[in-house]
Amino acid sequence: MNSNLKSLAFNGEDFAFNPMTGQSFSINETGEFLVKELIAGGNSEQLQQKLQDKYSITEQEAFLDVEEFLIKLKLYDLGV
Amino acid sequence: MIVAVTGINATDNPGPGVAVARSLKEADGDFKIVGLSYDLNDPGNYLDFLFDFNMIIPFPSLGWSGIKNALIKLKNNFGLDAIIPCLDAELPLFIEYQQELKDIGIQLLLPSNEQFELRDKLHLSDFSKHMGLLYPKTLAITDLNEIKAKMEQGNLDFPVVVKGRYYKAYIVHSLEQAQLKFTEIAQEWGVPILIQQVVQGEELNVIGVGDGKGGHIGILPIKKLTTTAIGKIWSGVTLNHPDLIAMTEQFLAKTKWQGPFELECMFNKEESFLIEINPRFPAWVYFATGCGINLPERLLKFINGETVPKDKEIPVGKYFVRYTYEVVTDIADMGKIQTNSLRFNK
Repeated sequence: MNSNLKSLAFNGEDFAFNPMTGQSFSINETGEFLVKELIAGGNSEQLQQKLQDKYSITEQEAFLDVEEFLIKLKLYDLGV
Repeated sequence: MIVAVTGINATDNPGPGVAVARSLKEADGDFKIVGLSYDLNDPGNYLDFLFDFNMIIPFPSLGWSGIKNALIKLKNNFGLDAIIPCLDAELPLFIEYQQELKDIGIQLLLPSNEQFELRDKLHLSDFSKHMGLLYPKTLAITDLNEIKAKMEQGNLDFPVVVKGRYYKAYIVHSLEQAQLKFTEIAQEWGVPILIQQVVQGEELNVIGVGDGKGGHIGILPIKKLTTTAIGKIWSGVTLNHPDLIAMTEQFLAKTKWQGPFELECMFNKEESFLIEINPRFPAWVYFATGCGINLPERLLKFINGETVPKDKEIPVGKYFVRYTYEVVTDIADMGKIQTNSLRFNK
């Protein structure tokens, strides 16, 4: 597990902070949900399923959203 | 307790003195604070809400006797129990003559001569090895025309950092730039000039006070989020970085450092580097005070033999931002110091 990802702290107001590097991020409720699922050990398929269940979206929408989010995490050195 | 503080030049290149005074004003103890200055125009000379007394003292370049006589005069006429020197240029004198000051009843907490020499940029490479830490490949060069040959011998490629032994550092991308910055720094601060490998990563800093026994009486790790054009912190955030804390504890255990310090480190995924050790409080010392770790107050309690609070945890995610401030006073206030070299504020 990426220690940067695991360290992220959320303030519940669309803001995340990495106490190890000092970096901060804007992140919405869905992003926070996905990060917490990843930290809990979820893989991309499980994340897609959880997203579908939570937001009543199609399998394709969930697939695209999760893949895009995982790419963004990598860009910020938060990839799993 | 009457405490003198130097480095009250809270300018665009700020000294730590005003932040130290502010920390002491906000402390529990009853401190009277004397601002010692080398320049009439230092802003600290006009901040009467922080300083009870201001005094101009002779430049350190004129030798120890001038400073010593000024401190004795201060002690005899106003009282003086302790001093917190805050400027690099004066530290070698205060370190060398610290026992002399203690003997006349002026307390201070500073590193030993040996500890001070260890952190000289010229020795930091060996010191880092001794600590099991990495230090960027560094060449000490005294002749402008040797840069190219020495870099080839030392296997160093551009970009490199050109830095003075005491102040200033620039990243340069060509020999011409290196020579230009070499000349610029050498004119102001002399040689040798250091040519250093650029290391990639996050620059992180730690402030603290060593207890002289291998431990500390408070530390705070931070990251500078924004800096000014000359690299001074403008905003920052406190961190919980286990490797940085471990590096700090290792530094303290190996050196038995006594007194204030600031470590500048660089971390990337694979490696961690010690870049610089400053043997004094940095100008952002109030950041720690604002987080509940009042290091100047703790330093004074420590040298007084009083109990110093232990931090159960580091306050993480505290944000610091500077601002500019103006003071309007009467020209006569300047005149009093100009004429008498001192002024009572209350």
